[in-house]
Amino acid sequence: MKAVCWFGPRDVRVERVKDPELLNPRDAIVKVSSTAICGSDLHLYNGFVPTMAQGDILGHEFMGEVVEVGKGIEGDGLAVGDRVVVPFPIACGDCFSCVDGMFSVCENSNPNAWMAEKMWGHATSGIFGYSHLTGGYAGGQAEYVRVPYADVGPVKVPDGLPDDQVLFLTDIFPTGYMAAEACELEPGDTVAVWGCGPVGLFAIASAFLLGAERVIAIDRFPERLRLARERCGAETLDYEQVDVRAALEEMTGGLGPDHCIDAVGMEAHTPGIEGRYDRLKQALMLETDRPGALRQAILSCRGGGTVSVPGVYGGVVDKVPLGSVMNRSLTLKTGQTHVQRYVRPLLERIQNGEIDPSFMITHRLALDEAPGAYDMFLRKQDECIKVVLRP
Amino acid sequence: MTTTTRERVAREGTRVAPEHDGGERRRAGGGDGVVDGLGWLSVGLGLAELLVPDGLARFIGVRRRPLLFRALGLRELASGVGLLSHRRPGTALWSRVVGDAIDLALLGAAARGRAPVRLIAATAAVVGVTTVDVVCAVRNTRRRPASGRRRVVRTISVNRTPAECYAFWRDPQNLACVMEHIVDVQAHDARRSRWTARGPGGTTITWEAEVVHDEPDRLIAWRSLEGDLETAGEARFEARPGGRGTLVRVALEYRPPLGLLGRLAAPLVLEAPERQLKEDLRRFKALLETGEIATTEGQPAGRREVVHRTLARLLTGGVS
Ligand SMILES: NC(=O)c1ccc[n+]([C@@H]2O[C@H](COP(=O)([O-])OP(=O)(O)OC[C@H]3O[C@@H](n4cnc5c(N)ncnc54)[C@H](O)[C@@H]3O)[C@@H](O)[C@H]2O)c1
Ligand SMILES: [Zn+2]
Ligand SMILES: [Zn+2]
Repeated sequence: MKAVCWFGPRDVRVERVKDPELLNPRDAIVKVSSTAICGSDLHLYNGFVPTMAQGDILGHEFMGEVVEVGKGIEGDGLAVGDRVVVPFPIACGDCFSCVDGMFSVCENSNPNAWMAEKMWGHATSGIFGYSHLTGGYAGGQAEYVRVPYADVGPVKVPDGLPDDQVLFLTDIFPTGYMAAEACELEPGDTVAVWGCGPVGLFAIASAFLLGAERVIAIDRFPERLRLARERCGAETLDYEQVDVRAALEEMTGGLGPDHCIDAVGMEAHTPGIEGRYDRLKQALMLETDRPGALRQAILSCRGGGTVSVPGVYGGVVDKVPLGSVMNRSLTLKTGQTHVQRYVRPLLERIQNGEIDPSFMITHRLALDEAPGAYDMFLRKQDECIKVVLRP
Repeated sequence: MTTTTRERVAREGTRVAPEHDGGERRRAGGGDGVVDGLGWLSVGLGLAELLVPDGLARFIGVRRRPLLFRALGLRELASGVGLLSHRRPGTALWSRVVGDAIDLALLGAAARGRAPVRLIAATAAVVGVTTVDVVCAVRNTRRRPASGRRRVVRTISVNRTPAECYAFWRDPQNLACVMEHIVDVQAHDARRSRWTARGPGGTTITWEAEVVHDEPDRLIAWRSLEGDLETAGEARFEARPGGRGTLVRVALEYRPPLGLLGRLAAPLVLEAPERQLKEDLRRFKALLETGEIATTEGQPAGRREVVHRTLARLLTGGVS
């Protein structure tokens, strides 16, 4: 089959590889009908996530048709021919964490748990196509993919809904939703969202679904800010034009937004000295991540508010104002999304017409065009916001 | 040598104090902190060499040689992963020493003719690190116990009742599934069984074992009777509070036998016993909770060049 493989920083190629096979009793094989490139894939593409190996198959946002199921789950609700969306965290459904709903910290699905323990103290779940730290699983930017614990992750979707409307249930819609949910919104709340990429846009939309009064969105790309404004109903700030912290204070009567969401993550673009400082430290391996947006989110937030962090961080960061978090009673919430929790309720919202997630798709391409698509998405060229590949 | 493991366990029954855990591990790992530190240093430097070879060359003031730097980076990364995995710290450390020698030779070559301050600093740094590496390597190589008793204790939480955990442990076939080096277990009856483990170079070692203590749903203890390996151990099953499954606590003791074959065979079973027990318990938990053990072995991947195949194998856990 064909698959998008990582070969090094800024080097992905479409390769011919062998087809995946069932390896465990609860596996299924899914024939991929649509798969997307995520902002998280850019961290791999740029080489900022350690333990990638040449030839690793990328992709954690994918859906398709079940073509084979393992002996362990035959007759267990999932059958050949089902059309399913597949959550990006790989989770067993049986361990304490899974039963508790914390699927992305499943205790059994990461075969390289020892490696993750070295890096993070304790291990995380496996994740499709996301480095060997999270299990080294082959990803879904391919014609076929093996899905472990297929009785837990995949959710059947009705034929009436096209791929474009349900594909993002695999990651970014639940991710934006979980980020907004973490703010425990109350009537009248104002939420600020850093980053108007797909995750940020879903965080904005979800904040409104969950009852926010106002959302203020921050980015620098006009097309992204336009979507935030016109499709999601946010007020917007271009951080290259205004001093974000001053503007937020001004817009909130000096208090700051009630809740702040960092939907940017470890590769924040920060103008000025601060940005150059982080780039230097990152290049010298003195910090792994550049937390520019996180710093700003913390300092901006109203006392007693929530800083919710869906943006991905990998390792250690420098000069994060923890004193501000502590002294001002902020709540810090974060995590790889527990997608399994959200697929069904959010599917319902799509079916009810409360939201049509396809609005952010700017490019529909063939799998073969993946290398160019990564480059375009990285540089945000051609007003690229979200790329969907069809194998 | 006054008492054998067997006699000791027989005499002391199965009393294994949990506080032995930390102490034993600290002693066994010997300078774990330093090894980990060197591991992270390797990973960091390796990544730098791989990702920004030109920047690094500029930084330390040598000529740009991206390919060479990438190759060095890969070697460095492999050592780092090896060190952090604790699989064979001795081997990984010696690989660092070899790498240091290469680095020094290269810096020497680069220095010919001119010796800017940064280059001198870089060389001094490498010499310093080399010293630490050699000391650690010697220490860790010596520490690999070819003989003498080893004792390890580890616990794991399993989301099943103590009765289920006990029943699962009681079936030797299940243990054969989760224990990496065990190839076969034949149960003669409810108490006696014959164990076969992998030795080096495709050989196997075997021993007879018997259950010496058996309290249903709470505890099993066993010891070896005769064979290539002297071993004893126990597994305890306690309910965790709040209905949160079971705390499984396993204590093992090994004494490699005196025979030549035994001495040769010992390294595989006794290789990093702490890590071994930890991984075995992880698989025990997975098999019991989910009915399978997570794996990626046999999945597709794009073509990897030779060095990357090695790295990939390292990363997917095939280090030993
Ligand atoms: N928690 C999870 O489970 C999860 C899931 C998916 C994605 N993510 C993460 O969410 C983040 C965003 O993903 P995406 O797909 O939207 O990526 P994206 O690259 O499309 O969007 C990031 C946006 O942030 C903007 N940005 C950069 N620096 C900024 C700054 N200083 N202030 C404000 N905006 C800034 C960029 O201009 C860009 O529009 C990534 O870190 C990704 O890894 C997390
Ligand atoms: Zn994603
Ligand atoms: Zn689990």
